[in-house]
Amino acid sequence: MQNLIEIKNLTKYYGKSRGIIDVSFDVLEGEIFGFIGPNGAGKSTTIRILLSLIYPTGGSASIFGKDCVKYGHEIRKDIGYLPSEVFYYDDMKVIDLLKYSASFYGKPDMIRLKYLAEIMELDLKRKIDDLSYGNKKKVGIVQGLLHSPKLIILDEPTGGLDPLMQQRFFQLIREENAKGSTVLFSSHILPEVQKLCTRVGIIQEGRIIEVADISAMRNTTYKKIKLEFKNEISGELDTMEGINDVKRHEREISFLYKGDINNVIRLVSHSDMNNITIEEPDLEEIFMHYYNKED
Amino acid sequence: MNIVRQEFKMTYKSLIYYTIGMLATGYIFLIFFKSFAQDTEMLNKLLSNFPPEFKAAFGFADVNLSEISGYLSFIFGYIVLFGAVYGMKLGISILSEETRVKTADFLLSKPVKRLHVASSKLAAIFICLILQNVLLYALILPAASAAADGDLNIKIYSLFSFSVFLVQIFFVGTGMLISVLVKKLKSVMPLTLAVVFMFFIIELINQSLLDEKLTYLTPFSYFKGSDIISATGYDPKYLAIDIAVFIVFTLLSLMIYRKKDIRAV
Repeated sequence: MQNLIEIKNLTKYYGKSRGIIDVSFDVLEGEIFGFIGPNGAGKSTTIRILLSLIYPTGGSASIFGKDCVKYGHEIRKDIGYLPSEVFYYDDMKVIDLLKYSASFYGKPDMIRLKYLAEIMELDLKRKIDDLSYGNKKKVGIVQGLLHSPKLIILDEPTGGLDPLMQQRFFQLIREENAKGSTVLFSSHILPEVQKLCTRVGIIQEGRIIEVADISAMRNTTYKKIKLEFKNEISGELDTMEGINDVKRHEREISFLYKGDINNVIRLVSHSDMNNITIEEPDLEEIFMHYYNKED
Repeated sequence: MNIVRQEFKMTYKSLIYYTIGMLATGYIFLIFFKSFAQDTEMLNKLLSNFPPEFKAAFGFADVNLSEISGYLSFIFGYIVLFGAVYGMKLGISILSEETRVKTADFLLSKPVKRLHVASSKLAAIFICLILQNVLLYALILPAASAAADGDLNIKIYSLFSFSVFLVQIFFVGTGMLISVLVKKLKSVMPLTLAVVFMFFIIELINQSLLDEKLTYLTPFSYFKGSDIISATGYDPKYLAIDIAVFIVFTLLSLMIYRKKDIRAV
């Protein structure tokens, strides 16, 4: 497969403050690439350079084999972009905004417009000003996908969408991907990325710390486990492998666990339990362990 | 064309308000002309009460207010000021408006060059300015003509009227340059009024001091009523400076805008 996006040693400073430093990664044609990192890590900065909304301090980025700075307007013909914060002209109706947006790509495909609006349950006749945050996000989704772009760039796209809409939105993205679109999906919510992506790039404090297959990630991710014992905390826990970051409080114990989940199940099956919760750890916690591993 | 249309939709309301304001200024002053002209003695007595600096500053020291040309030059002084505020507002808004209403991401992620966006917007505000000036010319003319009882010098009237546009483009260029240089522009009007009145105050000082060097500094001095009446034309030197300021500042703004970072909202 060919590289659709090539990013080489990309650096951006806003005056003296850091945007991104020496970022390099490629996105392959046809894949859904997850771009994850905590807030302020540099995800949006990278994306904004790809769209030439901002200009890099150093390094280069190219899409479809064309340099983003030089050929930005040509590249953007085939990009659909959904920003994390959506803002549109308040006194326009949804349909007028979508038509205006479509006018930049030739004649609007009204059938596709209606199809997308129907899936996302978007009322085309309402004024932008009257829309809730989630509904504005839907406008963004339709506006981003309307011209069947070859590359879809999503920057924290799910904020404000309810679970049903998130699901439909993911379904739409999968459909577009199946039709051949490449997707760059930026998020700080790990399960979301795990659900959709084949590969991920992890960015923290402006630097890429890992680019990995999602299947490989899954085996190395931690679970956040909280056990509430009826009586005493089982002593066997202390000797179990793969336990990290242990916190005890009376008959409660919480820890990060990496390894075969069955070991934990077997252990608790011997004890009387009040409650068990197993959660995905948030990204910061995973990052901490990524760093610990490297130190 | 789509950007021009959208820009026009976004600005036509203020076009209407400002044009009405400028027309009203013209009409209200013209109503009083007849009584001024009929009672020259009273007028002269009234004017002699003002200190000369004050008269100079407000533009009726060196023109005869009992004549329609002189009176028009006085009126247009204020219409120009009104128009300058509008021109400055347009100039400052044109490249910063989308950032302030947070639609810059939407527009600039479309497959268009920055220069195309900027020139389309510039075209839209020129449509506004031309429309406004044509309306102004056509709608004040009958009132001025009626006030003058047919004694109106059309050429001088036209020169006064067109000076509104010429001062406006000075402020469009200046406003654009300011808007691309300022990092974060929260609201347009305070800055607009501050800059326009700064230039107007320079003009007031200039009128009192009659210092030629100051004249170069402010467009309000470029098309002085008394000079237009005596020469039946503009001073080519100042006309050239006015147009040059517009062109140079506009080109400079476009160059900066082309590579300006659009900060995330």
